[in-house]
Formats: sequence, C-alpha cells, structure tokens
Amino acid sequence: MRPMKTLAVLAAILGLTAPAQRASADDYPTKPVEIVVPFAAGAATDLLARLIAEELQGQFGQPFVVVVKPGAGGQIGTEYVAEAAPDGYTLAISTVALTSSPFVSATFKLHPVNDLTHIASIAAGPNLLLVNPQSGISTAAEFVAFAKEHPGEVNIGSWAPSVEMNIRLLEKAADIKVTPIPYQGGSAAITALLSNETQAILSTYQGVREHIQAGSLTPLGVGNLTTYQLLPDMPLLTDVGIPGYKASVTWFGVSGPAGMPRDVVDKLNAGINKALEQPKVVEFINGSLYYEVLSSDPETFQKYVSDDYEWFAEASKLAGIEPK
Amino acid sequence: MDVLANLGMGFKVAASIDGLLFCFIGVTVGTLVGALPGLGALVTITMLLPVTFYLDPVIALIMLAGIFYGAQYGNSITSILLNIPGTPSSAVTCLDGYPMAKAGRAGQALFLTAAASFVGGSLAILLLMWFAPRLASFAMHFSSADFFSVILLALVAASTLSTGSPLKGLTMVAIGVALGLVGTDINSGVERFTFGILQFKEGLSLVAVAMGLFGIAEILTNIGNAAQGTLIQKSFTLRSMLPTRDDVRLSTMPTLRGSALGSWIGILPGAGPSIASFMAYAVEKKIAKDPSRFGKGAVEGITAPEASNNAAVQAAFIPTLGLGIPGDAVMAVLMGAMLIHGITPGPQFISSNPEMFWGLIASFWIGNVMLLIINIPLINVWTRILSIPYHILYPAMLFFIAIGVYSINNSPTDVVVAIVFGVWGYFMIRYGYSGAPLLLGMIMGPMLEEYLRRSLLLSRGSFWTFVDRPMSATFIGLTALILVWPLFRRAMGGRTLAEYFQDAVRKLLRSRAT
Repeated sequence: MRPMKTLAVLAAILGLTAPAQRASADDYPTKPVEIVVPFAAGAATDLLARLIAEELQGQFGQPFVVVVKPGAGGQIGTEYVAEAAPDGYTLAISTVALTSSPFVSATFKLHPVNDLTHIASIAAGPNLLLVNPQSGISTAAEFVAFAKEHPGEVNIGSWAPSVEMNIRLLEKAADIKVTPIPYQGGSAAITALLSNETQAILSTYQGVREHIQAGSLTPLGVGNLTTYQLLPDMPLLTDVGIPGYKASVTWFGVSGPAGMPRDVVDKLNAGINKALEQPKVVEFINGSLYYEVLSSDPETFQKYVSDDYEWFAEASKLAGIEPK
Repeated sequence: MDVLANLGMGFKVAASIDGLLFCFIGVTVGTLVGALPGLGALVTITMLLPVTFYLDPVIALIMLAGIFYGAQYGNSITSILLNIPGTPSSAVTCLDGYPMAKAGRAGQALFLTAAASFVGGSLAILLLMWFAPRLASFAMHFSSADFFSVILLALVAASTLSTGSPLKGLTMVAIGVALGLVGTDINSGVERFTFGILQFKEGLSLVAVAMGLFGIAEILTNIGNAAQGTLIQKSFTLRSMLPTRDDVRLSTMPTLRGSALGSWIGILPGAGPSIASFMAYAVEKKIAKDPSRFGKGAVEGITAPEASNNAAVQAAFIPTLGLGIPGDAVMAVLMGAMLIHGITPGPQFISSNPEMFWGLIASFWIGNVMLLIINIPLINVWTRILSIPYHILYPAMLFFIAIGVYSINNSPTDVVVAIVFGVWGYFMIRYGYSGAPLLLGMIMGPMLEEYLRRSLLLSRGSFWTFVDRPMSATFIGLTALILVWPLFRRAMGGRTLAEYFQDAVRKLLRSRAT
C-alpha cells in the first residue's frame, strides 16, 4: 500500500480503538475482569473467588472470570497480576501466603505491600492446635508437659511457609522441641494426624471440623490473642498453657497491580463489601469455610497486609528462619 | 438388607428426571473430554463448577462425578485408534490397543475396553456400597512406610512395562525419576533442576510431559507418512466389533484382576488411576504364560488397565466421602463443589447425608450403564475417525493437545514443555525407547522419595521401620519375591507352579512305590 493510504488506515484503526483506551471509573468495568486464583482449583481460595466473582458479575453486569494459575506456592499467579496493567481488569486473590513467603523463599521477588494495590479484604480465620486423642492429651498444658518430657519426639505436620513459622513460634513460646514433618498439603497432614503418624497439627478449623465432631481429633485451643468469634467457647492457647503464643491468621483478600486508579479501587471495594453482606456469601464463609467475614476499606486492608508482613518479619527473626 | 434398602432410596433420587438428565450430561461430556487428548476431567469439572451453584447439591455431584468416571471410559479411544492417550492414565492402553487397531481389530478393542471399564467400575461401586466406611478407615492405617513399600512393589512389578531391551526400559525409568525430581524438595525447601524457572518450582506437569511424549511425538512420527496408513477397519458392522470367543476367554481373568487391583489402589489417598493402569498391565505381563505377546495386541494388555483405572476412580470416592480426604486433585475440586453447597464430607457424611451418599452411588450404577450403552454403538463412529485424512486429523489432535495442556495451569510454559518432550520423544521412539517406563518413573519416583524420606524422618533414621510394620513387611516381601521369581522360574525349568508341584508329588509317589 502507498504510505499515505497505510497511514490513513492506521489512523482509522486507532480512531476506532480510542474510546476503549480511556479507562475511567464511571464506565468501569467495560469489559470482562480476570480474577486470578494463585492456588489449586477447588480449594478455599478458589471457592471464595468464584462466589465473589458471581456477586460482582451481578452487580456490574460484566463477566468476572476466575482463572486458576497455581504454582510456586502462589507466586506465579500473584506475579502475573503484579505485572499486569493497573487498570482494574486483572485482579488476584491475595492470601497469607503473600506475606509469609518472602521470609521462607529467597526467590520470592514480590514485595507484598509495595508491589500490589490492596483493594478489599474478604475473610480471615485463626489457626488451632489439635492432637490425636490416642495420645491421651486433652489440654494444651498436658501437651506442653508431654513435649517437654519427650523433646523432639512430637511430630507436627507442616506444609506451607506460614505453618512452618507457626510451629517454630510454638516451640519458642512453650519452650519445647518438636519435629516438623513436611507434607504436600494440609489435607495430607490432617490424614497423617488421623492415622497417628504425626501427633499434632496447627490448622484452620474448616479442614478438621468433621473430625473433631467425630471425636477423632481433639482441639487444644486457638492460636490467637483475640477470641475466635465462630467458636467463642474454644480457649485461647495463650490463656491455657502457652502464654503469648500467636500463630498466623489465614486471610483472604482481593488485590491488584500497584498503581491502580483510586476511583476503580473504591468502586471495587464497595462492590466487594456489598457482596460480603449477601446472606449466601456470609453463610458460605461462616458456615462452610469457618472463616470470619472481614470487610474493610482499602486503607484498612492495606494496613492489615502491611501489619501482617511486619508480623512475619518479627516472627521469622524470633523463630530463626532464613529464606532459602 | 440395609444396603439394598438404602440403594433403593438412592435410586429414587438418581432416577428422577433431573438426576437422569444431569447424569447423562455428565457421563457424555466426560467421555468426550476423556477422548480428546490433553483435556481431562479436572479442567472440565473446574469450568462447570459455577453451573453447579444453581443446581440441587446431589444433582450437581452426580453430574461432576459422571464427568470424572466418564473420562476413564473415553480416554482409551484415541489410545487405541491413534496411539495418543486421552489422559496419562490410558498411556498403557496404547501399548496393546494400537497394535490391535493396526491389525484391523479397532472395533473389538474398543468393545473390550468399554466392557472392561464397566466391570471395573461395577466392582468398585460394590465395594463402595458395602464397605465404604470400613475401607475408609483401613486407608487410615497406611503409614508413610506402608506407602513406600507399596510403591516400591509397584515400581518393581511394573519394570516389565517396556517392550524391547530391558536396559532401554531401565534407562527410561531412570530418566523419568530424574524428571520427577524437578521442583522444590519438600523437606529442605531447596529448588532442584528448576534452572531458576518459576514454572518448574512445583515440578514438571505430568500431563504436559505425557501428552508431549505420547501425543506430539506420535504425530511427528507419522508426519512423514504420505499414505493413509494401515489403520483401516475392515467393516463397520456390529459383528465386526464383537470380540471373538478367544478374546473373551483371555480377558475375563485380567479384567477381574485389574478391577480388584484398581479398587484397592483407588482407596489409598494419593495413589490414583495412573498408577492403577500401569500396575494392572505389569501384573498381567508378569503372570502371563507368554509375555512376548504383550505390545503386539494382547487383549489382556487393554482390558486389565482399563478395568483398573475405572475401578480406581470409583474407589477414589471412598476416602473422599468416607473420610473427607481427597485422593487427588479432581476429588479436591469435587469436595470444593460440595463445600459450596454447605456439605462437608467427613467421617459422618454417610450417616448424616444418606440421601446424598446413596443418591450418588445409585447414579454411579446408572452412569456406568449409560456409558456402556452410549459407548458401544459409538464404536462405529469412533473407528470412522481412522478414515479422516491425516492432514486434517493430526493438526486437529495437535490443537486439542495444546489446549488441553494449557488449560491445566493456564500456563504457556506447560505447552512449551509438551512440545520439547514431543520432539525428544520422536527421537526416542526412533531409537526404540518406549515412553511408558518414563511416565512410570516420573509418577512413582517423587512419591517413592517423599515416602522414603518421611518414613526415615519419622523413624529418626531407622530402616527397620519398613519391616516393623506388618503391611510394609508384606509388600517388601512380595517385592523380594518378584525380584527372585525369574531365578525360581529357571529352576523350575519353565513349568508353572501347579505343574511343578504335580511333578514333585509324582516323584514322591514314585519313590514311595519302589
């Protein structure tokens, strides 16, 4: 084609695409939004993402598509989002893996606070200490006594950076020595506890609830400094034998690449918080996953992530864990 | 009987209009998805998860479960017709299925595998019906040491998988184990062989490697063939797909053995249908009177693995529903689907949700029968695929493989891995190396390492842990037996065990008589 005609064609094409290039919150969203789940399909993160996506889709009228991109402990999916354009069309579900991984994995390049925009929190839940009733232990004090009498003999299942951290903190807080045994995932670790291969576990409530009710596992307490609202009668470990012990809190939220426009963030935040008020969503989060619904504005969530990151920094120093 | 009464209740749910409809949708989609190389049940179930939000929980489960076991019916289709496995677990079916197709017996091969799949599934459902809670708690008694010994037994038993030089087979197993090492060591957190590539941090994708090695390599191998090839079915009548009396006689015991093996392996969380099909094939080859028939179209080589992988997927529901422990990734997604509906599988699931449990079981029966009925007439349709010209068929297959591999992790890296292994596999095939042992090594190697190291960690370094436990000791014993069996056989001079004892008794009587 002659140069002028080429130019004319190009100009026409650019002209046609021009309206789509102006991203403003008044029109957001104008095309489908991608929500990346950096973990395996079917797990809690995925299910939460799908519920929120469905609600947002209903609110905004645009498809909110859940894309599962597992790998490298959540790093692949999260990095994919961190490197995407900050226009609000690529989002990620951020979890506690984000704030804990930098202290365990040397190749985790993302800075949890600076490299992402934290839009809205969704849910959070504490970790509980559980034992197999076959061990004869029924209180946290008994557990500590047993561990002190048999240093290094108590096997505890471990499967994620945050769990590793929690185990080390437990050792420090109770002045005991246990042996962490690595497993591929929480499920495998729970199975190991049920078959008495390991003697204890630090896990969120959802995976162990059925077993507690069936009597095959005994909960010793909640590893947090505030009461677990969904189980108000469950004692805090810090009150019943392991003073000062706080394990990590498993949290979920929606984040996007750094530098997202303020109005888009606010719009998404409002939408997510509205979704978190729907009875269906609350019922699922509280009743099926046993997490507490965590609704917040962007500043609070940003601070939450930042605080959690600092907590892990302190914890890793205390626990003596070096990134590999 | 209690069980039958419950089953009756289950049928009321499963045989409702909704139940039948969604069961049909599930198994049909499952068969199709299993037949398309690369795509598998996992991706399909994940994609259809949102649909289940609007369905009644039992109906949703019926559909998703249908996709899962339906895929095991469909995955043998391309294995037999094109030497390209539909899912990694049907890679073994290629070994004897494809030679049968080349000999013009594709229809009969498909018929036999459909029947074997049905038998396998049925046996596992029977186990599920009668023994689910007890079997689930049996799985609880398996420690890491027991798992190690079982997998060691499987690896040794399956070492006969390669057709051709044993040294080449061993090489491929070793390479497979090495490939399985890629990733992060679970005990120390150190990365191994990842070369800094983030996508390899959790290991190479098995589907990518399998599809590349078997699928893409096969396509590359056939690119040079200008001719349509010898894959022509002689006739398309019903009679042409019915197996001969010999076929039926030869496949009865292998099918039953495969079903038993598969059911048992499926109960163990983490084992899975891939191992089940490999092991069934290996067992048949080991105990066959004439092992050299394998790899050339022996019916035992297709019926045993197919029965086994179908039994394994049905049996995988036992730990999932009976204990709330998902056996593999697909089960985890199914459990997620249940969670969304507010149902938590666990030890009390069966007693507190009987309509759901028995409805699901009844749907398994309905689904398996539907699959048999759907698949048999479709054999004619499938075999007609062979008459599609290569220049249309193979690019289409390549397309499906690429999509399937990509969809596992939404990762382009996986597709690149598949291509690399495809090219490498092409050269391997030319030099007479078979891909099945590599797959075996890649699946079992990491498992072996994980359980070995964990057992030693738990026993604080003592190797006695493998013989202290009765189950582990039994498996180690069997492994030792398999290793010395060839020497034993030589001593017996080629006679079977029965003949050996007969001769011994005869000798004894003769010496007594004189």
